Amino acid sequence: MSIAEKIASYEDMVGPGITACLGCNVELSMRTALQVLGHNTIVAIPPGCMGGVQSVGWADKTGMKIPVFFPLLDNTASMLTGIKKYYERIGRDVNAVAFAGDGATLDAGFQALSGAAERGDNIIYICYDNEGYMNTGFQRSSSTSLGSWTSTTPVGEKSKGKSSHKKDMPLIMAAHGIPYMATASPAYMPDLIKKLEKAKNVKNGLAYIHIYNSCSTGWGYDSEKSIEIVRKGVQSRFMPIYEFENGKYKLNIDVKNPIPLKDYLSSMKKYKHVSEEQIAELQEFINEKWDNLKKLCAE
Amino acid sequence: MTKTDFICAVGKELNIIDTGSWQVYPPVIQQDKCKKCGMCLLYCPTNSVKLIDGSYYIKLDFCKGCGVCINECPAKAIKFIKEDEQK
Ligand SMILES: Cc1ncc(C[n+]2csc(CCOP(=O)(O)OP(=O)(O)O)c2C)c(N)n1
Ligand code: SF4
Ligand code: SF4
Repeated sequence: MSIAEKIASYEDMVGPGITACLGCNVELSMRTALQVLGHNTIVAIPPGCMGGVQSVGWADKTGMKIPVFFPLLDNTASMLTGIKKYYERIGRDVNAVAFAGDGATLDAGFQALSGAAERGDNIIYICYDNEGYMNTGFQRSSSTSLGSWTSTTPVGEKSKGKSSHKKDMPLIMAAHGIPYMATASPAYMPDLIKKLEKAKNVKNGLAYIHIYNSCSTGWGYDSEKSIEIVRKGVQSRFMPIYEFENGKYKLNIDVKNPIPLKDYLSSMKKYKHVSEEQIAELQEFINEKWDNLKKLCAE
Repeated sequence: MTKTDFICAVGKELNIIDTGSWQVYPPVIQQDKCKKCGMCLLYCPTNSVKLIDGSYYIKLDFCKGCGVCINECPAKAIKFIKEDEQK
């Protein structure tokens, strides 16, 4: 069976009409994740685009065919843990799944997630990383990369976009020593699907998946480029695809001949203004991260 | 709706937005060009591509007309049908 035939055979757990922007690959990632995780799942979606597009429902209607709730921006992991504990107590195996933005994960909900990871709570936490607080008007988050235009890191005489680098959340989660951590991309579907299946089978602690998404509206590119952009992100080594399983790192997509970083940066408005120095600084950051990853994977 | 037996409420009914009305032009798969690779189905954000008896079709009801399927189809088998072609 091909991967498309496999996905076609799964039921879509999300309602058919949700208001995500044209071409949104976060909508795609959420649908795919829940198709793979299946019917025996409870979903937590904090405030952010995916909550805002009404996947959590509206008034007394729901947005999904499975139970979904709307925690706060800062307590997603702890609220989900509480629900999971109840099911553990009554002896029922349920996938307790968070689908949260980078703001909700790397910033506001960080300590709740770190606590759940440290306690070994058996939840599946998926972070969709579109590099900012997109739902409230494209503010920067700690996941926004250097040089990015956001509404709070403007471009002008005094400021040239974000002045600091992106927080390395995947490595931070791996450093918690959780049983499973993976990065993934909607452009590499077979890899993403395999990782969701692995996360589903983790029973001895927290599974974390970091999906490198993008945002046509906030990053400034045409909707049909949605997959092309994130594919370029992977092919330029900007978005390294790897996993950490039972203490071992593994590079899943080894980009042997990366495309020039400029090819990726120039495909959207977000980086339209970046200077040669900023590109060099970004390149150095990417090289360092890649070399470090190679070392971790070789151990 | 899917049968469920959870403690959490699942709401009275599904909240559905008519996203099909966002389409400027409807995308259509030209079956004679299609290689049946399924890329359109894998990448469509709204899950509008359906596999029926081994062939891929776009169900337009909730398709937003984003063009991702057109951009990703390796066989260039999908195109928007403009008004003058719709008759
Ligand atoms: C404690 C708190 N502060 C601020 C907000 C307002 N708020 C709602 S959604 C959102 C953005 C969340 O960003 P992110 O998690 O990255 O998801 P995205 O919007 O990118 O999907 C913010 C700041 C809130 N709901 N709670
Ligand atoms: S991507 Fe193109 S060739 Fe492949 S199944 Fe879809 S229409 Fe056919
Ligand atoms: S235009 Fe967009 S929403 Fe419509 S079928 Fe193609 S990928 Fe799906």
